[in-house]
Amino acid sequence: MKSHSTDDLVRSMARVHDENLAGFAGRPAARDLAGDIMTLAPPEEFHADTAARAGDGGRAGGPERPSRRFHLPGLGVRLAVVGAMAAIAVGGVVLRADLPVGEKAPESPGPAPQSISLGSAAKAAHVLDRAAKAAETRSLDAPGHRQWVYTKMKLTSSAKPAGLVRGGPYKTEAWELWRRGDGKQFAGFKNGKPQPGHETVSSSVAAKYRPLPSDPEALLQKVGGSKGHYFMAYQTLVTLLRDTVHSAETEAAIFRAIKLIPGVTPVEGRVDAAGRPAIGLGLTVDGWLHEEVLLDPETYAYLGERAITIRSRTFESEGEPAYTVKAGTLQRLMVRVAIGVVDKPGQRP
Amino acid sequence: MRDPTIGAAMGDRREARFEALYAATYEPILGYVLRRCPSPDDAADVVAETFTIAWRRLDDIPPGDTARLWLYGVARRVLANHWRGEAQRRRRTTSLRHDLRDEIAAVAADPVEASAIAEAFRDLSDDDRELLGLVAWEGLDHAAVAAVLGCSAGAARVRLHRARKRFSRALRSARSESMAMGPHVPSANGAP
Repeated sequence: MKSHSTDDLVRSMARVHDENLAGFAGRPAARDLAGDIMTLAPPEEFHADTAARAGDGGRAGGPERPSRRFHLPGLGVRLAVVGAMAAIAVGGVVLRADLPVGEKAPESPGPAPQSISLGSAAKAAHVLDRAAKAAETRSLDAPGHRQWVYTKMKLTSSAKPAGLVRGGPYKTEAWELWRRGDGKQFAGFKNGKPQPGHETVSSSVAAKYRPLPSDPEALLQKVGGSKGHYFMAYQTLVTLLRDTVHSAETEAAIFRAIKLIPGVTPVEGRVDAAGRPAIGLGLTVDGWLHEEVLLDPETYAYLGERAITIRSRTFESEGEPAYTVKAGTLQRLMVRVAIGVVDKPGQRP
Repeated sequence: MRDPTIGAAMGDRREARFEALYAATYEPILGYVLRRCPSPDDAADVVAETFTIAWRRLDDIPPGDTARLWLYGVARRVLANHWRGEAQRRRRTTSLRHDLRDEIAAVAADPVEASAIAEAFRDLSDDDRELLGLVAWEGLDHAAVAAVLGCSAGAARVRLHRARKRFSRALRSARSESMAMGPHVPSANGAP
């Protein structure tokens, strides 16, 4: 088929290209969705009316919608699918599969809105310089290909299944995860036992960008940092800090690459990272949400991440009363409780 | 009564088939939905529903790469239905989770969204946009477009020809307009 002069224009408008999604089918998020779907009733158990509707002559689709009879995968799947879209997947993706069925995370009213003020970008740059220097003096060994990186994470987010967080109640969930050094396997706890992930899983973004350049500019470029894509690159860099143990040189480069991203600002004063004081640095999204990485004030090591609203914002949607999310409302707080290199999944450092 | 072991073996085979289909088509379907669905919650729902239908109708799905086309067709209908009815109500009650939306916004950063080209594209009919998209985004030829839309290859050819003409015309008039108003600077979004 001959291509047309407008094809390239249309192509340029694609939000995402299939090439960018390579490997997504193997991610835990996508695996979870497949697993969820295969627990649905096999077709011979369908009610007759559904079967009749489904039998529309073999034409693709049909205007059918799985009714409430079918358990439509809920937030877990949403997180899963959406998490899969970005190069970064919030840890919750795996967490869903790991929580024993029926286990409810404890709920708490959570922090009341607090007043947040941001410092200058120059100050953030200064902090990142120090973090890079501190990283250079750490003696860390990156994991070997057959070793595993263990992480334990704790996530505080809305107890409600979806939507912007307007305030409490919050719930906190914790999970442990092992990622193999080569990034090709992962394991999590399921029903109290470490369970290996799918063979083709590329759960670790670190593996995708390997080898990580030690030149900050080259690193930023490799994670896609360019005008219009800085937020994504920032998130990827933060994920690299979160998920893996890096050599001193690489970790320093990650901090320096973050420094190259325009608009990173520090939170004035200390941030509460689940009881530990932390330095907060972040990018402001849409002028109202500060997406932060939290660092240890002594060692400048990664402590966690937080998303917090820095400006009140009112939302209106059709057929629903408008509502306001107040400035200082915590949207998400994720803390890395532990990280270490071990020899096999199930082991803790 | 059926032998339960036969039933189990059939279940395994069914799962294996679905697994293979899923592995082969998840990424193109995710891409298809993401390109047409600006909201992360909706995109997630549409992907989940598409594969739920695939699981239920596994026996109807043609073999080989035609399966992907079949699934585009399913996703297309799920998307169309999604804007109406139940999904709409669901969307109202669960407003977007900010981080998810931001993730999408980040992955989908589109510097030409506000340009004259995007505007001309948006002004086309749904059918025209879908035809142009299937060719430019999914890389389909006439026969494949026909398989997705459920028409003959000949009809697909004619409809595509017309859609391209309408788009070209819209672009020309957008260009002359923007020239009259001075140079148009595409607004970059996504960059904080």
